[in-house]
Amino acid sequence: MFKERADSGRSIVKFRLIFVLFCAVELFVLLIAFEQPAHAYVDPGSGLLIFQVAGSMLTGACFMLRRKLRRLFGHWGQQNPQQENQVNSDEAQTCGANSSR
Amino acid sequence: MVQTPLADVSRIATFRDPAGSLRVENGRVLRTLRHEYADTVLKFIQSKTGEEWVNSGRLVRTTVLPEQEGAGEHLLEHPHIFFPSYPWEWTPGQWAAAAELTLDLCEALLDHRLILKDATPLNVLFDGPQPVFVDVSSVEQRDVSSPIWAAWAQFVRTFLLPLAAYKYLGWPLAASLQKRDGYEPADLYPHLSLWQRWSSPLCSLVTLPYLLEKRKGAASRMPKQSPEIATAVLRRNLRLLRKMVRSLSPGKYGSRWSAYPENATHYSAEDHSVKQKFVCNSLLKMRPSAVLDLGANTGTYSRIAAGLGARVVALDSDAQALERNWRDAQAQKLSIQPVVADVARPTPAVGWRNAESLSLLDRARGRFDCVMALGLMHHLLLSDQVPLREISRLMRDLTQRWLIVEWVPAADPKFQELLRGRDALYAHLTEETFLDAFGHDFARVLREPLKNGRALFLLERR
Repeated sequence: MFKERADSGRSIVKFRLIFVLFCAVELFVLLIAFEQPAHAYVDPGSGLLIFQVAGSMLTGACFMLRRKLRRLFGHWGQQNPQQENQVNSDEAQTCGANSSR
Repeated sequence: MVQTPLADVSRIATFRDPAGSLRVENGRVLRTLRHEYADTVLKFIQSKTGEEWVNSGRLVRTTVLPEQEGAGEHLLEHPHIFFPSYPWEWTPGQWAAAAELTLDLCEALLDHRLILKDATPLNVLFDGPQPVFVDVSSVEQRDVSSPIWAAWAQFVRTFLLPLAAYKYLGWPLAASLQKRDGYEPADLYPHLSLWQRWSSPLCSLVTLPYLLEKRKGAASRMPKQSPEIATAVLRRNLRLLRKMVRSLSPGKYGSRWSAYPENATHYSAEDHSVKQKFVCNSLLKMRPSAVLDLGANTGTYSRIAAGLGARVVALDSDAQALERNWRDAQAQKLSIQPVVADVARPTPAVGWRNAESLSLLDRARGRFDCVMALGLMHHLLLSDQVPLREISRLMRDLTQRWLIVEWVPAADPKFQELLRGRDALYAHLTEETFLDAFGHDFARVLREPLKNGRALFLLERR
């Protein structure tokens, strides 16, 4: 009986991990698929622009991933939309995706 | 040969921004805005946030004029900023303050679905010690699904890289005179040590962008994200930029002149006191509204003039001394505007047709009713080798009426320091020859001798 429960727990964790990985891949695919040409009258730079685009995509992906994770794991998914917005704002400050900058 | 009058040349209108242009016409600062851009700009200026920014003095006041220019262009008017100074005349702290102002405005705009389309120090002027954002046509509609700030690279090039070059390489900020659009990462990269290249924030500002530059064309397309995520990413990026500005803000560096008031051993406390009293009494007698303090150093005399209600422009070639001057003026809320420039080699006119930015003397002429030149004369005479008569002509050019000047005799230790064995060449420099040379342009009003042999004069323009 314990063995059955442990097997079932392991499969749930495995399922969630696969789901999270799937979300992350989906996110990057979507981000790349919706690219549009740049329009600006100032010189947007070359290396600096690539750096900003890469950093922004990574930060955006980090925000979305966190949101999905929070929805996936029960106790974080219970928040009302207002709280969630606050969390997103906090994420913007604490997310480590751009910490290399 | 027909010479174009300077005033006509200086009337060149700005031309890079497709939204409109700015010109100075008959003493009025006029801005035209093309119809398709005007709604966005005017909406922000008239919004509550826009009004708050104007009332706090951080955004230039804008009046929409009833008349329109050709092709339905809107005509706006701004008040004059008393003395426009350019980034190459700012102290390091002024650079950081202008950078933070730009980021603050950009962040405030995000809430209104707006953004700044350009981000350069040229969008900021100083009114006294306070930075004012003056280019209202920089405001544009934001693509709410884009997490990219198009002016991000320009902000890095024109604000952060000059500050980084100043902090880590000692390149003067005045060198930005030659770089309208700032430095590229490739300009700094070869000059950084291996350790510097991979340390923060140079790794993000210089090394990675420099290495990524080789992937040309890869960033010609922009990512799209949900509006909520895009805004959060933009805010995050602005916060990171602000963090970098603060990390690049200069500390308290010493310089040749920044500790001059404390180390001026050739002045006794009594002489100091007599000098300050003389300047104060002269200013009380004249009540000037605008004072140009040449060789202002850390601003002892600028603060006396500002304390008596004058607008002061404090000019010195030592950026660190002026940095102290600026910080004190900010703390004491005094109308002192520091300008890093050398009076013997004043800032030239630069830009397209030499007419985008006016020379220092063109901006200064006719603007000041009093000039102070304290402890400056011997530097001009001996270091810059300018004759007395020429110095008098410059002072006459700069002041509308009054001149407070300090004569340093040949026996003075500071005079001797600069003389360096050229005694015979400058043997003619005495108080009498000084008064003779200045007598063509000025009449003597007051004289105050100091115990150290120096003499202070209040002169009036003839």
